[in-house]
Amino acid sequence: MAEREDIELFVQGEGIRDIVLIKAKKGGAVRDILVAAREAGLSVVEGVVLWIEDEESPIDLDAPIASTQIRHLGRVHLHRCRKVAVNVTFNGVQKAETFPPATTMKRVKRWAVGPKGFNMSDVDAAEHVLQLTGSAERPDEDIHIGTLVTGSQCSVSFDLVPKVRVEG
Amino acid sequence: MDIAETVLRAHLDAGPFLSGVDRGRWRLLVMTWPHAIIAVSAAERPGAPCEYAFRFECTGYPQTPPTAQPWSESADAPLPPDRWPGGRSRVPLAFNPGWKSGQCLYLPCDRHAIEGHDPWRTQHPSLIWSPQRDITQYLQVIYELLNSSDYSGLRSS
Repeated sequence: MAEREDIELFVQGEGIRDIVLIKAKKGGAVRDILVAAREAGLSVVEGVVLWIEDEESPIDLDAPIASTQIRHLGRVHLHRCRKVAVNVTFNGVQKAETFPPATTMKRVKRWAVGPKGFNMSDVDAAEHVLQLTGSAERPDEDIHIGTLVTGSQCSVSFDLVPKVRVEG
Repeated sequence: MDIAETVLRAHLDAGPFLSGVDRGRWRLLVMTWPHAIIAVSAAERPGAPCEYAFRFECTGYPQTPPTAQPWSESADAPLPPDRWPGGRSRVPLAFNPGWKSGQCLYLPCDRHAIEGHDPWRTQHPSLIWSPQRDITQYLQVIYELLNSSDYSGLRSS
């Protein structure tokens, strides 16, 4: 349990494969969250900025935490990419969009199956899932898109695939 | 303490599991090694509970996959078949009380279910247990099923 002057934050980001819970000083600056993340053993590269989950713009690193929307058990993301280019392929057709790196897979999928994506019915949408191109990995809906960026390109590619019955 | 128990307890206190707790997706009810009873939230359906409890048997965790069965927290016993989750296609196959006497779920990530089902490793690679991950990979599979359009409520309804 965090002490009164601490807050706990769920952190994701560049080079961080899991959701990690860290403690940070409530009275510090946003930049101190990066320090806390490093102290927790996370790889935090130079030049990262911090987003609140599903927000469009990063937070000023010099701002006091108390002046931001960062709250106890909030969800933040650390990444150098300001935007992530997402490509989704379904039945040989490709759709593209850009998202802030702190965007959840839940929101990315909502776009992919929605009117600006492949415009699926609710039933069809529920029975499809985003799978990383060239892999069997189907990131959970809580994962931030920035977490899936590899290499120097700020991009991620998916296939939209059906959920199949387990039988046999 | 058994190393497997140490690892499981660490995973139950780590970001991926606690993130799911914070989202209301699952919660730990009881931990009595080698068992962990975890409730997983389900979509709202008429006459059906808002969550189902599962007893995970975790011997050898995480090198050995866990196995899970629907559990009655109040009776501290296996959940009666008519109280199991039901659905149209994927759900009744996964939650099948008639398979192996209801002692596990029919899922590739389950220790007992994967036995004799080697083709699943190529047919369902995203559902195969990975010792590099944690118990949330199994919980995510259950949560997805219980919150899918396939899930219709209690098996008996």
